[in-house]
Amino acid sequence: MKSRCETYQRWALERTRGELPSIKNYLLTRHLSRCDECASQVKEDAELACYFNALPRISCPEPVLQRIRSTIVNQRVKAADRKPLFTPLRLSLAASAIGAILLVIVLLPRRESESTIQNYSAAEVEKARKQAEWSLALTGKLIRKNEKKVIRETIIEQFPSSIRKALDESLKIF
Amino acid sequence: MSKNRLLLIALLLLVPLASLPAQDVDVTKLPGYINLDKIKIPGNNEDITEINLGPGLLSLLASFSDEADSAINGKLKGLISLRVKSFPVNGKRAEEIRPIMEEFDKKLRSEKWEEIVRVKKGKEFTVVSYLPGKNKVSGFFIMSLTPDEDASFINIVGNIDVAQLSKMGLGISDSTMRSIRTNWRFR
Repeated sequence: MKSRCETYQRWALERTRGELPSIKNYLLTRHLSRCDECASQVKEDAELACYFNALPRISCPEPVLQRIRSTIVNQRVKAADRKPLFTPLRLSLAASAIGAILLVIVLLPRRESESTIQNYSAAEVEKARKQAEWSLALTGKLIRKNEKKVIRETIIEQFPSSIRKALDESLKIF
Repeated sequence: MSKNRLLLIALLLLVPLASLPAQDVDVTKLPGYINLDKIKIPGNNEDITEINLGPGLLSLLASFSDEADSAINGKLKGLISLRVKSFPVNGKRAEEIRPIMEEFDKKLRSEKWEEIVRVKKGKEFTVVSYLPGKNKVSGFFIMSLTPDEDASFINIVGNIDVAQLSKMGLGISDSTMRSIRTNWRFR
């Protein structure tokens, strides 16, 4: 279905309710005279509307109406009684709880490091410092030594041999 | 249960959780960790260096700020564990170590460690690798075997950013640093 047809069918429904402006009514009549699909759809809708209109009108029984009314009134009363989520007391409680959490988070690492300091003797700390220094020095030495080795091998061995190989290949071509 | 009650309960639960003492870091569970326990150093070796610095000592050293220590302290920021095993090897011992090194090599490849240096020449074998994390280096691993000389294994676990990496004085060349930075950018 074209989107234009959808618009006209919507207009047709508005026309059954008597809500369609005259210009739209004119355009709809013109469209229905040309489009069989829309014409048949509008015809079906009109028939359905006729059936509904033909149904007997029964008013809602009074006890049901009363129950609906009382339910609406009760809901309104409950809504009016409901206290807001953040009363000043709750807000202050929440703020103090958040403050306590932040305080604990901020203070905890210090407390931890103080206890850590107490766990190690000065000699142990000094030994660890020397070990860390030595380890990093060894790491650096190994990286430097092997990086140099790789560079040297690339420049001195691999690079000339690749050039030689390439030259040999090109000599074969010529 | 109303929303405000839930909020209060959540806050009350958070307070005791936050006040729990920080648990010790289990280094073995961290991505940059390599288990060096597989390398057994024979008892008759005299010139052995075995270093095992855990998160407690390393964070303590990094927190010191007196001038005498500051040079090393600056280098230790972000380090969680530092393990070294270094010992002399003869031909027979080198043959025993080689399969362990190949096993480590397989692990490094499967866990997507990046190589800085790889030297495999004759019986000589060296691999320098790092494990890139999100804008950080999660681990360093060096294994080096020079037959009839020595074997060294170093594993550094941490959260080391690029600025810190330059400060550590590891002698990583500028080109390697550039490739590490590029690697981070594309992760």
